[in-house]
Amino acid sequence: MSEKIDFSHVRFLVVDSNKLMCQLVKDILMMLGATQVTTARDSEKAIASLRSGGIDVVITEWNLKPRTGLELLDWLRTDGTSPDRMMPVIMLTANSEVDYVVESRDKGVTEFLAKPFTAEAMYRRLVSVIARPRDFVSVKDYFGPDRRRRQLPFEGVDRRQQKPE
Amino acid sequence: MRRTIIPNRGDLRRKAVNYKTGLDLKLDDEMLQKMEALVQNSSAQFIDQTVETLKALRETLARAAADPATRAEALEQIREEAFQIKGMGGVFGYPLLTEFAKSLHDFLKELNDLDELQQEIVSIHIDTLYVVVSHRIAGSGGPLEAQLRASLKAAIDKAKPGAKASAG
Repeated sequence: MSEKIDFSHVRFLVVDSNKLMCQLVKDILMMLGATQVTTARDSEKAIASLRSGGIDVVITEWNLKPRTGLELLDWLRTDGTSPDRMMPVIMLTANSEVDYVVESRDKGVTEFLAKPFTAEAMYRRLVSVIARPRDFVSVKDYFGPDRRRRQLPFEGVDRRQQKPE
Repeated sequence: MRRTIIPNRGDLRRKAVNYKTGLDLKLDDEMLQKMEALVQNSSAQFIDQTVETLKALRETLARAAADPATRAEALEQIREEAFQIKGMGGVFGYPLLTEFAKSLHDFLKELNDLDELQQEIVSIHIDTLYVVVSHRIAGSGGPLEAQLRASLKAAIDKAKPGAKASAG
């Protein structure tokens, strides 16, 4: 029997200044089975929503006002009033250049998805953050998901230890 | 400072992952097609919205040309809309819109003002984007797309500093 993912009890917050994009992401989530999707068109409304509780996953654009999506992420990860410093955050943004990816990771983003995106790519990110959750790391300059690959035990023959035939 | 590993609580996984209800972790073709159809259903709305946006940007640019005091505001508005189109074009099946909007956004990224030459380059971008939406050009690799790409580049080159002087 294989694992399944049921989004019906997962509470999402979608933050994007663009109304059409907000609605599209919400529609995709609903089609996937989500029943609780809140949207916010700016970062202050997003923070108000997060403070009021009842959010499990945030999907946010970088390009927001008055705080950027990166500042929203930073608030969630480091602020004393954050409702959950380990909340999964997917950065869904048209700031798709490598520098933005690196900066997001340095601030503790859980997943990064560049626009334009496909619905399938979004699904893969959702599966990743919900079904394959990472541990968190806290060091001086970083609080966020552990980026190291998981070390899974290998039960086969170690061919590097064998003499060549 | 010490490196501390904080184990994931796993509450979200417990809430959503099971063996009975929901979707397979890898989506099947039928679900993918449904999702694709959902996105395409919003495509017409995106095109209508983009047509209106580009019309508004033309007006904004005309105002900026007539009144230098409005240039900074115009720059901000055009940059924002270019960013939006860059992100959405490809989602709705118009990769060329993403490409041209990215070109416009990159051009505006470091600017603080819009002089006449820069206005001309912005105007060329807006016109080219308008051609793509008004003709619903959904591809990116065909001869028409290549021609549009070449026209945009030629027009930008022509409008660059020094080009007019050397042409004359």
